[in-house]
Amino acid sequence: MKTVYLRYSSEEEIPAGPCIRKRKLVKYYTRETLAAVLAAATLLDGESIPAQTPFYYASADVENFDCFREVFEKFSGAGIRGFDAERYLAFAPPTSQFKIMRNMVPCFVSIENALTGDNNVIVDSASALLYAALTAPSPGRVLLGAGFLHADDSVEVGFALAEPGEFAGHPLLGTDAPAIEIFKA
Amino acid sequence: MAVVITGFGARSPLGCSYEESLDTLRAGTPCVGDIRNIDTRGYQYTAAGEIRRDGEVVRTPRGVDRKTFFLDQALEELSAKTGFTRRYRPDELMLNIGSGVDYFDIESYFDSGASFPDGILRDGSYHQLAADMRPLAAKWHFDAGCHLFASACTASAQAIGLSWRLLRRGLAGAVVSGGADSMISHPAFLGFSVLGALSASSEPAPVKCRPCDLHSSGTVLGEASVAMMMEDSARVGDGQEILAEMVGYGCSMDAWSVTDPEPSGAAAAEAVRAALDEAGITPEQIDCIHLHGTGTVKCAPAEYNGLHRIFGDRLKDIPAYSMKGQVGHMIGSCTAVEMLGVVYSLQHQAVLPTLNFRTPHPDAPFRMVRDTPLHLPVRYILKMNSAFGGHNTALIFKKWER
Repeated sequence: MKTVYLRYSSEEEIPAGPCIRKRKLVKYYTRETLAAVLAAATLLDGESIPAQTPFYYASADVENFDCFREVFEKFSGAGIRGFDAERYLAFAPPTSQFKIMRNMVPCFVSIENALTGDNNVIVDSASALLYAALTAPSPGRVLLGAGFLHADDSVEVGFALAEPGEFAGHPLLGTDAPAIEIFKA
Repeated sequence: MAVVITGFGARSPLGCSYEESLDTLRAGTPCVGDIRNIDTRGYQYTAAGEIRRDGEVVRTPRGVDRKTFFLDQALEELSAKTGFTRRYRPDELMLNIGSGVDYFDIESYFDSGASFPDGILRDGSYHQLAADMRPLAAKWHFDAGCHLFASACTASAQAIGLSWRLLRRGLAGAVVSGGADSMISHPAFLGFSVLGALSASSEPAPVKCRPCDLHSSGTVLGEASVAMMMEDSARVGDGQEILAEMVGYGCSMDAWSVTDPEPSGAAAAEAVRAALDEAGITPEQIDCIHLHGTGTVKCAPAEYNGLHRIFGDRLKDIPAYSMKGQVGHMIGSCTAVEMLGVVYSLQHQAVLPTLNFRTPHPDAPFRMVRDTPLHLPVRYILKMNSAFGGHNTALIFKKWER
């Protein structure tokens, strides 16, 4: 099994620039997306994997609310008290929904790496991510990833390229552990 | 080994039980209306499929996360119907549910004047999905795991698909799968308003969503929490009805755009091919197709192109159906609620009419059923879904034959 685990503190820049091919999409990225694209590129550097390689990804429960920050700051700056849908829509950046939807990180990793195979998007759970890998429908290696964007803007991501059988009997199967724990060992 | 579906607990615009849902499906009652559960002042789009009981929208107070609130009720109904907590040990029972974005009572948070972002989690206005589901899993004794899936409109298809794989490989004793999602909240409506995917039709709410129609202009959001029992047929008790057998699952990714489906449908076709291979059947054996059919402008042509790669010109002769014209689009739980239509077709040997479909689309000339159910022998059904972001899923179900 080949693994990559990256962690960036809240102040650190994530040096993903050189490995991003679809630069027009960067405006939709979160810090988790940047770190995931970089981790996948690092893991797959020198590898030749089929486009049909199964790819399963898990994001942690949300504790970072930057996707709402811009609107809150504009409401405060304008001295607006209380909720107003019309003003919210006027203030919300058009990219905001892409930063809320949980499947966006693996979608961008798939686009960057032209991955078209079996896939799944999991919330938080190491167990579900391992089960997805163990039941992959095609022979060969699977790509696994997990990310955790913390409240303070620090971010962790992990990726692995492995044969599904390597996850059999994994100690996190059937547990409540977050998926990022798979990659920390 | 045969993986079978033996029961449902359902809360959706169709009704607040499995039986009520099937009655509403059969009657073809429109279930989309003007939103009752949030204040829609300031929104251009105000139609939605909200959960109803006896035709009336079920109201909940501000601050209640409707998806988990109604999932708990759906699990209670499923438990009463199938006795899953009695028939299986807790360490055999797994909960695999498709869902969506977190519930954020943004209205209360703004009104409270709390500083951003310190109070969001502390004041209870924000509901983290996994954290909220764990107590529910504990209450219903899913000790083998509580797993949540979030690939937008394919989330519950992926939950059901993984459940099928786990059961076939003996990695779970029994699985309660399905979906729980509610788009009836400000963050969901704000998000989809920005995306421009909602119906711009000036027609009344019940006819705003027109799947596969030439004049479709967008989808209508909805909500549903649907739990379904999946188990090995060998462990089904004598008195327990088997509603359907699941025989195939395929999944693929467009890797093309995050906003639009890949127009040639190449990846969607790969998902169907994989599902057919798993089922060990040919395309000629599929009797009807239950489409994703969102009512968005780009959905139907892409879905048609993908299916045409598999079925060729026979596609225009295969009866097709989309439930979204009747109930709207539940996003993370759309496949789960649409499973009620699949089971209806298998049980009643009929394809239901697609509500609001009037004019065939020249770029998606599906054989949509209109006005009255089409009765025909239905042995195999293909259930399609695809998602914002590029996921495609294909599920195949078979009429149960002992």
